[in-house]
Amino acid sequence: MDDLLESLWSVERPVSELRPGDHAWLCYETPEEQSLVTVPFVDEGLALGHRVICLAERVGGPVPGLGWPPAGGPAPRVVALADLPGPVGPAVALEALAKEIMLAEEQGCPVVRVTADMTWALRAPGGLEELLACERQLEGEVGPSTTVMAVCQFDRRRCGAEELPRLFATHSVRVVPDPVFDDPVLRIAWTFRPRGLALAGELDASRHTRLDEALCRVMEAGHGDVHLNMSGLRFIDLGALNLLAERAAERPAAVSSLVLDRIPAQLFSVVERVGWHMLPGLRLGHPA
Amino acid sequence: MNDAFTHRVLSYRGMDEFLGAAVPFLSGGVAEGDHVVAVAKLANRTLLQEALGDAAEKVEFVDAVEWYDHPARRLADCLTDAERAQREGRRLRVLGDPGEWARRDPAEVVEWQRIEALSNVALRGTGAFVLCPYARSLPSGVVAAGRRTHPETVAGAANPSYVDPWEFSRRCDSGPLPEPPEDAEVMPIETPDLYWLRMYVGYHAKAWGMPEDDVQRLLVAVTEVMTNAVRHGKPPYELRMWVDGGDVVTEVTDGGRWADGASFGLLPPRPAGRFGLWAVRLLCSALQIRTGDDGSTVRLRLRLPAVPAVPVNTG
Repeated sequence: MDDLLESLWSVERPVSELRPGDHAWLCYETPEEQSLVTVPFVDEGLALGHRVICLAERVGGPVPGLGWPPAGGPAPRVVALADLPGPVGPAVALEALAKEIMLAEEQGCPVVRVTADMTWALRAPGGLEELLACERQLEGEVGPSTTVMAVCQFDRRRCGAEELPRLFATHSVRVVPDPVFDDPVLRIAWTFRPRGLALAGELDASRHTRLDEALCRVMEAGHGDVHLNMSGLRFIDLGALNLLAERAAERPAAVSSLVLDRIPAQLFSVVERVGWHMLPGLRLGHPA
Repeated sequence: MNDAFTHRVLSYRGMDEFLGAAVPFLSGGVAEGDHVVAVAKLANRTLLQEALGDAAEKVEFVDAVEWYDHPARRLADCLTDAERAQREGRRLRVLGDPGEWARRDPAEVVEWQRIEALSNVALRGTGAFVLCPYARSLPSGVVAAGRRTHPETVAGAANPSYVDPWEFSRRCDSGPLPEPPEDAEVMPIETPDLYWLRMYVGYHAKAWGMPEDDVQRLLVAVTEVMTNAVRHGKPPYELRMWVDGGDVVTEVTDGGRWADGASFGLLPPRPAGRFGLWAVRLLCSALQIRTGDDGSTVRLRLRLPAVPAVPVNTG
C-alpha cells in the first residue's frame, strides 16, 4: 500500500500533535523514518511528565526506534518480552502493556504514551489473525480514552503486501514525523516514498537557510535520488533555485540527482523562462 | 575551425547593395557547411530565396518579428545555437536584419543596440559569424549605433567607429530615467517583508489585467531585486508601480550605490553560475538600472497583453 492510499483513508498527524485517544500507525522503511517518530514521541512524553511505556526484547537492552537507554535522566518504562510467560504472542504482550497502563492510571498519570514495534508478532503461525484481534481491541480501548495514546510500529520491509492494509485498517490515525520546518509562510516536511522533502507555501531569501539545513540533512541521510515534492509551493525565488542547483552539483549526477516533482504550472513557467540548462543537476520528475 | 566571433555591419543603400552582400554571405555559409540562418522580413526573404536558388533550401529563414522578440532571450538563444553548432564542428552563421527599428519605442531600441554591443563579449570563442544589415534610410541614430557596435565592416576590415562593448553599454544607462507619474502606487518599506511585498505587487498587477503566468514572473523578478536592495543597498527602500503605455512598471529604489563592477546581469552566466539579475531580464520585458550617489533605481517593465479591439457594431 502506498502513502497516497494511506493518506486518503486516515487522519494524518505529526508526532507532536498526537493526543490521548489516538491509536496511531507508523509503518517505516528505514531506521531514520522510524526514529523521527519514536524519539520525539518518547522524549516529549518524558519531558512533559507523561508515563511512557515501550515494548522491548529485555530490560536494559535496546528499545526499537530508540536504541540503548540513556545512562541517566528520565527513561521510559519497559515491558520486556523476555520476562513474559512463553510462548509469547501478541495477546500476551498486549495484556502486559495493558497492566502497565492500568497501573499508570491508578497512580494518577494524566497521560500515558505507549509504543511498540509489533513486526515480530507477524512471523509466528497465526500471528496476523491474533495481532489483528489485538489491534481491534486496542483501537476499541484507546479510541475513547482521555489518557492513553499509542503508536504501533511496523517494519514495511518485513511485512507482507497483503498484511499491511489489513493491519493499517485497525488504526484511526497515521503518525508522521514533525515537519523539518513550519511557520505561517513555509512548511518543509519529510517524505520517504520517494525519499526527500515536501515543500509548501512560499520560499524566499528569508527562509533559504531553513531549506538548506533540511536539504543537507536529507542528502546526508542516505544514498540515491532526493525528491522535492513542490505541489504545495506557491512561490520560489531565484536564490532558492540557485541553492537547489548548487546542492545538486555537489553530488555527482551518476550517484544521485535532485528531482523536482509536481511543480505547479506557474512555477514551472518561471523555470522554463530562466532555462533548465541554468540548473544542471536538477531533474524534472513527476508532473504536477 | 576558427573559434573567433565575427560580427560585421553592412551599411547599405537600396536592394542591390543589400543582396550584393547578403547573398554571398549566405551562400558562402552553405558552401562551408555552416548552420545558416537568415532573419529577414517577408519581402527581403523572397528576394534572398530567388537570388540564392538551390542554396536557399539549406538556409533557415526566420521572421524578423519572431527573432527580435526579446533582447536578453535572443542573446541567450543565440549563444545556445552557436555553442551547439560548435559542438557539431560547424559554425553558426546569421544574417540578422531587425528591419522595423522605427516601430520600437526608444527604450527598447537602446536594449537591442546594447545586445548588438554585448554579443561581441557573449559570443566570443563560439566561432559564430554574424552580419547585420543597416539600411541608410533608417533613423541616423540607429545607423550610427550600428557602426559603433560592430568590430568589422562587411568586407572584414577593422571598423574605426567601433566602441568597446562595456563602454557602449555604460552609455546606454547614462541618461536619467523619466520621473514616475505622480499617481504611481507607492509602498514605503520600513522593514522589508518579501511576503507582503508580493501580496502588494500581485494585487496591483492583477488589477491592471496581467495574466497569471506573467504575475508569477513579475513576483519572482521583484523579489530578486528587493532581496538585492536589502542585501547590498541602504534604506530608505521604496516600491512604486504604475502603468505606462502597455507596460506595468515596477520600481525598486534604495539609498545605496552599487559597487563599481557590480553585475547588471547583462550577460548569461555560465551554467551553475548565480543567475540573479540575468534571470530577471529574461522574466521581464525590460530591466533598467541607474545607480549613483543619490541612490539606486531598478525598474522592471512587463508588457500587458494587447487589449482586444472593441467590435464595431455595423448592424
